[in-house]
Amino acid sequence: MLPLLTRCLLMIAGLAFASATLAQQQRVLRVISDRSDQGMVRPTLDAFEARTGAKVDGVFMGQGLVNRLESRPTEADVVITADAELLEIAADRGLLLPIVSPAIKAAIPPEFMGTNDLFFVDAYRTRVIAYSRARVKPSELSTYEDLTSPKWKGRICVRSGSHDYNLALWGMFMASYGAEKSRAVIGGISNNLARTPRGNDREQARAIFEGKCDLALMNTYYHPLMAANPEQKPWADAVGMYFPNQAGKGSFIMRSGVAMTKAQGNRDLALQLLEFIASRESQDAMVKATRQYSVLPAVGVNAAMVQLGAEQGLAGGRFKMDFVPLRAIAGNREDAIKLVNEIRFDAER
Amino acid sequence: MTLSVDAPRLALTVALGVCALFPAGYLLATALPVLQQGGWLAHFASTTLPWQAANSLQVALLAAAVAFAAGALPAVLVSRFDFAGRRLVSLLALLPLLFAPHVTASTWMVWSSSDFFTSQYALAMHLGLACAPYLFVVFRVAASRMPRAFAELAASFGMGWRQRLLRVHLPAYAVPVAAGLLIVFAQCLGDYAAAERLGVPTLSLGIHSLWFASQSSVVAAIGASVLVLPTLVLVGVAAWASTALISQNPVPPAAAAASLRALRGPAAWAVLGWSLLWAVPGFAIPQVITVRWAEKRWSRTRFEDIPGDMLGSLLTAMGSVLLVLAVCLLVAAVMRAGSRRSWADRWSERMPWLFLANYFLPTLVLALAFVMMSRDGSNLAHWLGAWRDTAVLVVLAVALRLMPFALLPLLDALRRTPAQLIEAALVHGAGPLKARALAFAGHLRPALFLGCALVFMEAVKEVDLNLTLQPFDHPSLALKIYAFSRHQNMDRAAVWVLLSQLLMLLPLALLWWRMDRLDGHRR
Repeated sequence: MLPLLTRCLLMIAGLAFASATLAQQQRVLRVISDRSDQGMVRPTLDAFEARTGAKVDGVFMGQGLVNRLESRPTEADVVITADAELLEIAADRGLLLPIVSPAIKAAIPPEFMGTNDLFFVDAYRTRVIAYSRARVKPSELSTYEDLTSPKWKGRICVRSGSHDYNLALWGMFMASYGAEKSRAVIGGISNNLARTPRGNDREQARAIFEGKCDLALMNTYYHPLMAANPEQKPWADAVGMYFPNQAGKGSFIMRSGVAMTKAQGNRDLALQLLEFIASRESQDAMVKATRQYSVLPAVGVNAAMVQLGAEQGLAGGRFKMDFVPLRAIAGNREDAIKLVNEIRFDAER
Repeated sequence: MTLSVDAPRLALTVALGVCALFPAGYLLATALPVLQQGGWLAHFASTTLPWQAANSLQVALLAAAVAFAAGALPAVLVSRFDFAGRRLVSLLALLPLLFAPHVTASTWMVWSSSDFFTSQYALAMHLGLACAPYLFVVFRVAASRMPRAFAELAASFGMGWRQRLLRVHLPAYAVPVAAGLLIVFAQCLGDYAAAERLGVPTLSLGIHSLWFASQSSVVAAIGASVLVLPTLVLVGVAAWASTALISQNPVPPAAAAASLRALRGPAAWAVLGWSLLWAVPGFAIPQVITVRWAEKRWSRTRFEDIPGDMLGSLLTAMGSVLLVLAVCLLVAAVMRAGSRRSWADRWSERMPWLFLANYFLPTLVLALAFVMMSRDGSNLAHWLGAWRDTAVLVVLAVALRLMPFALLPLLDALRRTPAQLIEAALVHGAGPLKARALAFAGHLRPALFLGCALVFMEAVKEVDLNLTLQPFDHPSLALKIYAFSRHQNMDRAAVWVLLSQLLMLLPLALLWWRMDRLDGHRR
């Protein structure tokens, strides 16, 4: 009979060997993303881990995603971004691998597939006009261009003109309206601002709640987020969300996207993750968790967002979207920031 | 013989200079082809960058006023007077170290609906209060070395208080004032997170916007060059002033023997009240709000993440401290003690000052420089090997940025150590290294101690470098705080803010104790 200490040591060694063997067998997929680890991507990755038994390691950074990809093109297997324009840039720089998957081809509508199938859009949201329910009637609103009208002088709040969200919107203005008209629209909005651009999107809702302004530009998902937060619920209750340009081309959308890098070791697993992201199960969970809109027509709008736009006659939270191709937008950001600089959008007021 | 003594010092000097300037040099080299084409200055002049630079300057000046009021003034009073609550004043001045400025900025902004908390004045307040503990330390150390005898002598010559202020006190405090201004300006120019949260258009924000809009590292490098060139000039002047002016006017350590004057009654209460006044926005209210939020969100906390996040932050911070400590010890072992006589000595002492350049660079730009320098196939990637894809790269970048916190006090202590002490130890049979260890123990240990405590605390709070250079599956408290605060969920970030404070408590307590010990021997 072995002494107790020896038996314990043998048991520990056995366990260590077993866990090392298990770790060796478990495949590790590497994901790089500019999304936060908390809330947005994690539920999808957790579900994928549970389904496949693989482990997903992530780098969840803020800015500089494309630069990191350029610097280490094969360190990650999959790229997930809140801003599909970055994937268009990454594709241009030869950093992505074409997605060859009948399942994805069948699931994702063609307009949401990236150039040469190098990426696909997995979700989208829209930047709409938030208005004061107390001081503005939806019938007074119509289009983004209308925000330049003198009737809105000193009544609009917005975050910095050079913030990502606004740059994306200005980029779409440029692609859709042309340089001259977009300059007039962005300049007109700037002229009608109630205060110096500051704070984030929720701050604009709070400013409307506090009577500092009547209109703001906001992403749709902030409304249910504020409504779910007891301290911010009064802000959400004070604002309505107006989907502009519904009688025309539609509201502009901002797209999230996923892609595969040129890393070689895990291509099958990377493709499995992409197929999972494009699946009904994952899209349902994504809509629930992130309050974005699914690219799958069959997936409904988040329950908390179904009523958005009802005051302007929209049903089920569905709206008409102005589908500006990403390729047309991707080069516009630099021009947009030059324009913001030239018209001194962020200047003190 | 001379060559054998000087060669290691020369080699170390060059190595330190190269290490210190590597990121800035890399950015300049990247930007050079475009800079050479000309026209870039005219292009920048046509953008809002000049206006944003003016904003940054205004923020920096206001932040300097706050930092001097909240940090420097209490430091001088604590160094000069003995009064009830003196140690409490020291603690109150150091407490804002427990918060990163972007955390206090977000906390105040979420908590209060006042326009003030999204204004540039609020940004100046947050950055100024974040710098105040550093100014407290700088002024506390400087003031404890200044003998009261100068002022008394001037008074005995019939000088009034104004003349004494202008001709004795202000010149005596010129160096800590310059050091304080450097710290505040570096913080204000380098800050991205707090300005971004509040939406205040600063130069750093402008440079980053240009970078993000183009996704071009060359654009970021050109933008950074706008800062790199003035920074190098500023750091050069600081290094020259430190090694030329101060060395010619060394204040003997014995000056610390000056006795404290008693302060009683309303004057003592006024000093305490002043410190409390600044501790309210810089620490007390954000702390109360954070604790309240943590309580509210306790049930939704992912407790299983806590050990990993704490261990990750602890290891990264400790790694940074160890690296900084290793460089400092190397400097202590090789550099000469005592005041400088030859130009070679002075230059060897000036080189480490160049590390300050990395503190002036916006941290995201510094992070980008590291991303580019360590790209696949680069020399750095080759040298680091598999280590590049670990937290070692974060540690390297953090240590490089925070190096001045420990290295500059060390150089100051080194300069104040008489070279004769080493010679005496050698005469008594000690080996070369042991002789230096014996001679430096009393002077260098406190400086190193203080520097390492500051490096540790800043490393725990560091966000941008962690965010951009993180390896896969890198747990960190700062990253978690960022992830929550990015979408203004400060209530969910609260538990992680408190955990980071828990890690910083020991260094803070040691720092407080060290500050108290500065004049302990004369009480």
